[in-house]
Formats: sequence, C-alpha cells, structure tokens
Amino acid sequence: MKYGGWLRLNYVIHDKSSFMTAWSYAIRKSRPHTELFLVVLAVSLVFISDLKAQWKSETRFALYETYDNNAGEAPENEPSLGNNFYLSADAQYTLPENPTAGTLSGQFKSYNMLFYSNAGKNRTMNQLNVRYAIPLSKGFVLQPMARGEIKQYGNDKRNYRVFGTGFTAYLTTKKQWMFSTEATRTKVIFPSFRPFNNLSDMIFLTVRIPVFTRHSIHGSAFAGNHRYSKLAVSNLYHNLYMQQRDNTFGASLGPELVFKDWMAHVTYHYRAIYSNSYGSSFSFHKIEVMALAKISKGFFLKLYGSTQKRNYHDRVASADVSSTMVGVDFQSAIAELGKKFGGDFEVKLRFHWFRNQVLFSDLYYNRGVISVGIEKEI
Amino acid sequence: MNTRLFQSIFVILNLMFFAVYPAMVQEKPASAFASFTALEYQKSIQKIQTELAQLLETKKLLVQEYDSNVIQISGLKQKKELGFFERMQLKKLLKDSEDLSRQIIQVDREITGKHESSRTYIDKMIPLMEYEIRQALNAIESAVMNSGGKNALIQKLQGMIQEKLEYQSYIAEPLRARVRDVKYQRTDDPEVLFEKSDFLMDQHDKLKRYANQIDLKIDLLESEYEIKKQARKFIDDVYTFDKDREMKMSSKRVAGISGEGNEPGSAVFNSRASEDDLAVSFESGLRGTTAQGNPLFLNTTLEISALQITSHDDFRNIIRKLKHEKSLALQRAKNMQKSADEIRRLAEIKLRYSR
Repeated sequence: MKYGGWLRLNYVIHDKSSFMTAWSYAIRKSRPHTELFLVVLAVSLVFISDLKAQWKSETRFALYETYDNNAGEAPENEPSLGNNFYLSADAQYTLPENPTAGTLSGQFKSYNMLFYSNAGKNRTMNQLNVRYAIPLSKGFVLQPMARGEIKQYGNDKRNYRVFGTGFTAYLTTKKQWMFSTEATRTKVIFPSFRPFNNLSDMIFLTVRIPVFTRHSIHGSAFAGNHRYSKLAVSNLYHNLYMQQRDNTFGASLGPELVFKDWMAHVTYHYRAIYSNSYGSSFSFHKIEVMALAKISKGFFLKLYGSTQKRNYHDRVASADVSSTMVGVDFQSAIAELGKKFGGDFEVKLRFHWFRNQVLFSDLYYNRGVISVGIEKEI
Repeated sequence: MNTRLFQSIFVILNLMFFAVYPAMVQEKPASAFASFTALEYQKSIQKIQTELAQLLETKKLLVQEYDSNVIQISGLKQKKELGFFERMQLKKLLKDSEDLSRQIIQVDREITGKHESSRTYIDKMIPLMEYEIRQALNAIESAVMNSGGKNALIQKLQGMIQEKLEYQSYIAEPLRARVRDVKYQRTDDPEVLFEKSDFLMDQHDKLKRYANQIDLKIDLLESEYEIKKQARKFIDDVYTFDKDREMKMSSKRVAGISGEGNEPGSAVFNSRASEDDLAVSFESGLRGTTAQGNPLFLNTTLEISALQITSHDDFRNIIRKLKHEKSLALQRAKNMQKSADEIRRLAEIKLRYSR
C-alpha cells in the first residue's frame, strides 16, 4: 500500500473508530467465554506451528493465586484474595520460498484478574500486536505495525481502549550498532470519560551500542503531541474554547550489562510536557532498574524497581486545588522468584508493591500484591 | 569323451570371458581399491559426474542464450519507439527469457541433486576405503614378503591413500576456520611423509580447538538467550499487569468555573499525559519491539559470527548453523587424524624398506 493509502486507512480507522467499537463490543459481550476463546486460539497457533515449518509460535499460560492488600487502589487498604489468569500467544510466520521477503508476527495477550470478595474490581485486559518485518537491504528492516488494547473492569469507570498504528525502521551495522526510528499514532478512548479521549503522534529515535560484545548502551529520544477531546482550561479554570494539546519530548539513556548468569538493565528517563491547559504541564525524572540472576539451573530471581520525581510548571490557582500537584511521585518494586521444571513449566512467587496517586483525588495509596502461580510454556 | 567335454567347456568359458572382459574393463573405474562395494560406489559416482558435466554444459549454454536475450531486450528497450515487429520480437524475447530462466533454475536444482547424490555415495565409500587401507597397512607390517611384493603393495597403498584424500577433499565443505589439506604425492619420501602427517595432526588440533570455541559460543548464546528470554517475559509481565496504565486524572472542585459542561462547583478533570508511550521506549530497549526471537537481541559479534549469519536469523537458526559448523569441523578433524595416521604408518614402512 502506498503511503497516501496508508494515511487514508489510518484516518478512517481513527476517526470512524468503527473497528474499535466492533472489537470492544465483541470482547465485552464474550467476556465470560474469553478464557476459553484464548485457550482455543493458543492451541490453534501451536497446532498450526507444528503443521507448517514456516510458522513459529510461543504460548504462555499462567495462573496465579493472589493476595492483594488494596484491590480498590484507595487510601484505606481493602485486602482481597483473588486469582489471575494470564495468556500470551506469540506467532511468527515467515513467507515460504523466500525467507527474506518478510516476516509477519502477531502477539496476543490476555490478562484477567478476579477477586473473590471484590467483584467490582475484576478486570480483563486484552492486547493484540501485529507486525510485518520487511528486510529492504542487508541490515535494514522496515516494520509496519498495529496494536490494540482493551481494559475492562467489572464495575469501574476506568475502562479504556487503545488503538495504534505505526512504522519502525531498523538499521543494524556490521559492528552490531542498531538504530531505529519509530513513528506511531495512538488513539485512546475512555468510554466513561470521553473528554479525555486523545490522539497521540509520536516519533522515537533509538540507538543501541554494543560494548565489549555482550553489553550495550541504549539511548532514545522522542517527541510528539497528545490532542484531547476536552477543552483546555485557563489559570482560573475557565474553559478556553480550544482543545487541550500537550506537546512532549524526552530522552532516555542507560546501560545493559549481560553476563553468563545475570543481567541488569538501567534506564534514566527525562520527559517534559507543555500543555495549553493550565496545570497540565510538567516534567519528570525517572529511573528504572531491572535485574535478573540465574541462581542455579532453572532458578531465576528477577527484580524491578522504578521511581520518579515530577515537577509541575504551573502554580496552583486556588486554595482548593491541591498542593500535591507539585512533586507527584510514583514508586514501584517487584521481586519474582521462578523455578523451571522440565524446561517449560515454571513455578513463580511474586511480590509487587507500588505507591501512586489515587484517581480523582490528591491522596496516595499503597498497594501490595503477593502471587503464587504456575506458568506453562508451549 | 570327458577330455573333449572339458575342452569344449574351456573354449566356451574362454569365449564368454573374452566377450565380457572388454565391457568389464570399460566399466571398472581405475581404482586402487578392491572392495566390490567401494567399486560399485565409484561407478555410481562416475556416472553421476558424467551427468553432472552434461548438466553444467547445458547450464552454460542456457546462460549464454539468456545473456544474449538480455542484450537484445535492453537494445530494444533503449529505443524510444518500437514498431509492430519490434514489439512482437520484444514480447517473444521476454517470453523466451522467462522460459530460459525457468530452465536454468530447473538445471540448477538437478545439479544440486547430483552433488548431494555424489556426497552420499562418497560418505558411504570413505569408511570402506579406510578399512581397506588399514588392512593393507597391517598386511605390510605383519606379513613376510619379498621386497618385490612389498614394493608392489606399497605402490598400491600410496594409490589408495591418494584416491581417498581426493574424494575427501571433493566433499569437504568450506569451513570458517583456516585449515589446509596436504597434497599427497606417491613419490614423497619418508621424511616428507612424516612432515605431512605432523602437519595434518596440527590441522586436526586446530579444528578441535575451533570446535571447542564453537561449543563455548553455543553455550554462551544459549545462556544469554535463556537470561534474555526470562528478562523479556518479566518485562512483558511488568508492562502487562503491573504497570499503571490509567490516565492520570485529578478532580478539582473550584468555585466560579464557567464554560460548557462545567457548572460552578462541578468537577473539572485535569488531564495529565499517560506514561504509556514511555513504556514503549523502555520495552524497546529490552525487547527490541520486534518479532519474537529477534536476532538483534543476541550478540553475534564473536569471530565465529563470520558464519553466514544474517540479521534476519533468529536464535534457533544461529544455533543450528553453529552446530552444523561444529559437526563439520569435528568430521574434518576426524578425517585428518585418520589420514595423518595412515601417512605416518606408510612413512614408517617406507623408511624400514629403504634401509
């Protein structure tokens, strides 16, 4: 398809949203049978991959029993027991006869969280990513892609749908330097908060520089904007009769260290958002750390942590506007211990804690989740 | 009566022998080996080689014809305007070229098939040759013979070794490790043979080291792949069910707000950009945001990566190629060790008889 055609298709998809509506409707209606559908889908993928050599697939099922001390994400903790079902199905199809003609990849992920005593907070998240990698010359790959995501709560208005399209171009040099450029357009729809629907256009530039063969330094820069359905507000919180538009840019940098039995990935992020709506401009510094160690054969310890410091550019206009707008923090810590049995069966113990701002208020909540689960890979 | 009968049978047998002998001589390949199966294999290989030569000749002619067509087509295409007959000619040439290219592809497939058949026969034949060489060496070393008989046997042995080495070098696939075979000459004296045997053993050791390097590389890659796969899954999970993806919104009850949908005292939502797009950049750092098993994910920059590993190869392909290279290296090392041993024993025999 020519670029003009692609743009037109993009326009139709985003502005008519017919595909999104149909998809979200289908998922909503078929929710009780979602798991069954996903299992059938995953098994089909595996079956196809066995039949056709050019198909490759990787499917993961996971079932966790969880203890959540704050399922409602409220300032007062509300402990709840529940279970999580997770499925991830990756499939890759290389064109027959000529493997360099392209590779079509699809990834379907579904995450379902059920609480025994707080059904209103039950949630299901379904995600689909499709990519088509076209090798144009040696080391240069162009990859159109599309993604969709639906998150649906049992009884909560935070449901959303995401639909995105874009292109990525990869260039790998002889010395294994990798450059990539990614241009994406994403539409986010909040059915219960339509004013917050927004359309984002982003461009990413990424570089990965190998250091001493196995390690690398990765850096990226991005710029873009978000256009909201809602109107921007003035410093007196009057509507400005223009839609809110946020321009954003940022960068990240960090090393990746890989050894035989462990690896670590650290990233520093900076991001700034300049909005035409009062109170919405901010910048933040954020650090993310991921470490993974192979303790013994098939025994893995995984750690993740992130923290960020925000600064809001606008001063509060009224005493009623919370002062917590300045310096909003978000912290997260995850520890996971996994033991593999027989190559593709894994038992996991997972702890996750995070601290964040409560939705619709300036209070904070802490949430801790302990999960014990099994995972099977096919 | 009996004498006449025997004479008649003798004459008939002689006639039969002389009738069949020329055909036998013609079909029997000139070989130093006596094993019937090895000779049968050699006959088959020779037949395949003849067919192969014909196929190569056919391909050469087809390619010549194709090239001449291409020249004519480009000549016609350079013309600004084509007449009716020229258009017809161009159409015919294009069709012919298409047919020719199809034929060339077909011939290429047949050539590949013939090469494969030759390789299969040679693979089966080499152990038989080695067995026969070993028997001959043992015979010379242990048997008591006169010097004439021994010299004849040594000559035969030299021929056998040379023949086997030629077949082995025919099927040797190119290796990335720099190894060299020796050129064996029947006239080589014992000292030269000892040197050649030592050289082959050096090459054998080099190949063993190379195979060990590949093993280490495979081990390293598998370990790296396992670690990175675990990391990819972990990050995938973090961004799937731990990431706070909701739009940050805060309600502010502010007095005196006017405007569409905002009555005084009603909630005004102040939107803040999602962090979701940041997730893309972090994920891209770890997952490469490309298809599963992206080769960019693995470091293939060790020396061995000089194998034909392309940027489209996935992990399984890379490992398969490395394992293939390792098996080739080990096979070549094994062959070299055997040849070195044969040459050394031959050198010892020659040395003993030259005294």
